[in-house]
Amino acid sequence: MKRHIILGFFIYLLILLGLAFRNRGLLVLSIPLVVYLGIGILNIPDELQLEIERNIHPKRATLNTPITIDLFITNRGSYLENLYIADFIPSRLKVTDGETSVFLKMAPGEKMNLRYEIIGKRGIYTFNQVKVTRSDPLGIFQFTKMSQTHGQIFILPSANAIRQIHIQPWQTRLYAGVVPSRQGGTGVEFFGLRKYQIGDSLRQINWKASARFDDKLFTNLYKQERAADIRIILDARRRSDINTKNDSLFEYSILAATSITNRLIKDGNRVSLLIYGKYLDITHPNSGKIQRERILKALAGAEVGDSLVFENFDYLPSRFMPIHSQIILISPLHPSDTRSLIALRARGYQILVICPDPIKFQIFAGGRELEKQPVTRVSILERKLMISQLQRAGIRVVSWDIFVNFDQVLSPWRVNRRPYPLMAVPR
Amino acid sequence: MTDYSKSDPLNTTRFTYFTNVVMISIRLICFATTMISLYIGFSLNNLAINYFPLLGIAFVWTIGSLLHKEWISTFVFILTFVWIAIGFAFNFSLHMLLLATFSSLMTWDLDYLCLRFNMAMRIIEPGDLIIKHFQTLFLAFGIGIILTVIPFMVSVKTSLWLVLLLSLGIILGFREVFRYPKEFLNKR
Repeated sequence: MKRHIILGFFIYLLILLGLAFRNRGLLVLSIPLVVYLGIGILNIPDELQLEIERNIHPKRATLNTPITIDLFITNRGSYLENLYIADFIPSRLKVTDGETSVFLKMAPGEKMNLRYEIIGKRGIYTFNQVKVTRSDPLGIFQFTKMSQTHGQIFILPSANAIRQIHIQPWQTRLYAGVVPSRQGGTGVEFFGLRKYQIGDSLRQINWKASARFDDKLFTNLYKQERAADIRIILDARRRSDINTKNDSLFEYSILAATSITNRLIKDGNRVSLLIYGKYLDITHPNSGKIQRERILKALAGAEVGDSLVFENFDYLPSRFMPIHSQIILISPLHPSDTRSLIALRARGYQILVICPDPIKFQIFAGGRELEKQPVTRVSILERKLMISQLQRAGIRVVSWDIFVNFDQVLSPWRVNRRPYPLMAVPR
Repeated sequence: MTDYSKSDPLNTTRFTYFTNVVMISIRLICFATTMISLYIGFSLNNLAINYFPLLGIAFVWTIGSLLHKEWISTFVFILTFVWIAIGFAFNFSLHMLLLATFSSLMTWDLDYLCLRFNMAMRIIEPGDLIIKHFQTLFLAFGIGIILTVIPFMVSVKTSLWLVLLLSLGIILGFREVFRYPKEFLNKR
């Protein structure tokens, strides 16, 4: 409650009662309050004329990288006696050094610098306001003003280095890359044979095939290595997320998405991202470092959410995914997703599912004894069944035990390069 | 430009533990003075029964100080002041009640100052700020004491009409007090 109101109320109450009852004592008692309030009124500070500038360095950082924030404050007005300046820090950020609020006096033209360091979790954080409060020396009258100082930081998600992701999309782009295409040419993987033509390297002649004929030579053809068009879909539905006290399964999905994006962009592919949760957050396809930055920023701001429309994968936007395109779905998978994914596969999409294992996550959070319980064993069996159903439909599923390095999980899978069949599965 | 951010090897600009302890001690002395003077003031008029309510107020104030709650401090001030007003209304010991008035006002003031200081993570030149605060406070109390004592030395006779006229002025002015900060202060 404001102090001047309390004082004013008491003063008037005492005077009124004193006059009503003609009591000198009550009237006299109001005098100290009147003087106290009067001194406050005489010392009321002038209008605030502060110039506040914010400097953030660096504006994008990774997890646990300290970010320095400087507030440069200049007093353009008159002498300010009791000044309180406080910066608003988003709750997920933690101050590691320096101070975010200060109590001081400022002479006209005086400048000061408030500096602090923060670290925080993945996210996009906006700094909009600085709270400035001026008051008289006794603190009876206080005036608070919110100064606008814009600033934004991105704390990007962390990533694991991945050596290679083996994908085999039906269509590739014209540009050179590392994805084996379905066209013969120069490359590493064997594609087929053709008749020798003048100019072919002798090293490419298939001598075994040529030995079958007297007058013909055959040359090996290899799969051309091209860049591909890849759609990453991140499952941000609340129903597929599991939260513990300090951890969330969704963070592992983000880690997987970041690692895969880094690798794919580095290999020259055209990548796009769809965050499927409360709404559809689409980062349109492109390649290069700027696209990587766009995707990382989208991942930094990704949050789980609920939506009745996007409860399952039935409403994936088809315009986002041309037929035969390569889809990488990062999702812990819900049992009700099987039907939607099989239907998607039947429409001709190449699907790779990276699946952070929710059961292993819960076992880690709840203790090893949880592993032996019948309910866990039944859940594991159900999950295996679901994955095998998906695999039978031609969807590649990588089940990721989240406490194993992501690159290691992809490694054995990478060895198995058999092309998977395109199956027509009725809906 | 004065960079107060990190280069402060002697730590002189902080609201130090020492300063905090000194402020707490002064507040404690002020509050104890209020309680004792109230107790004596009432006891001298054979009303020693106020011992228990005062203990209750002291308990609430201690909790408020520990929790750094502004509203508890204000609540205690209101309770104490009502207590003092009762004493004044019944013409109990004047000296004791005056002492209680000023010490309770000082306790409330310093409670508030400490709260504001504790709110900030850093205080630049707290010594200067505290000295300036005490100067202003003593000025207010000095003038207050003089003006409070004078009416007890002189006797003014009032008539019913004068009382009614003053009451009217007060009632009219009452509304302005609550509008005062918004309209008048913004012009400054």
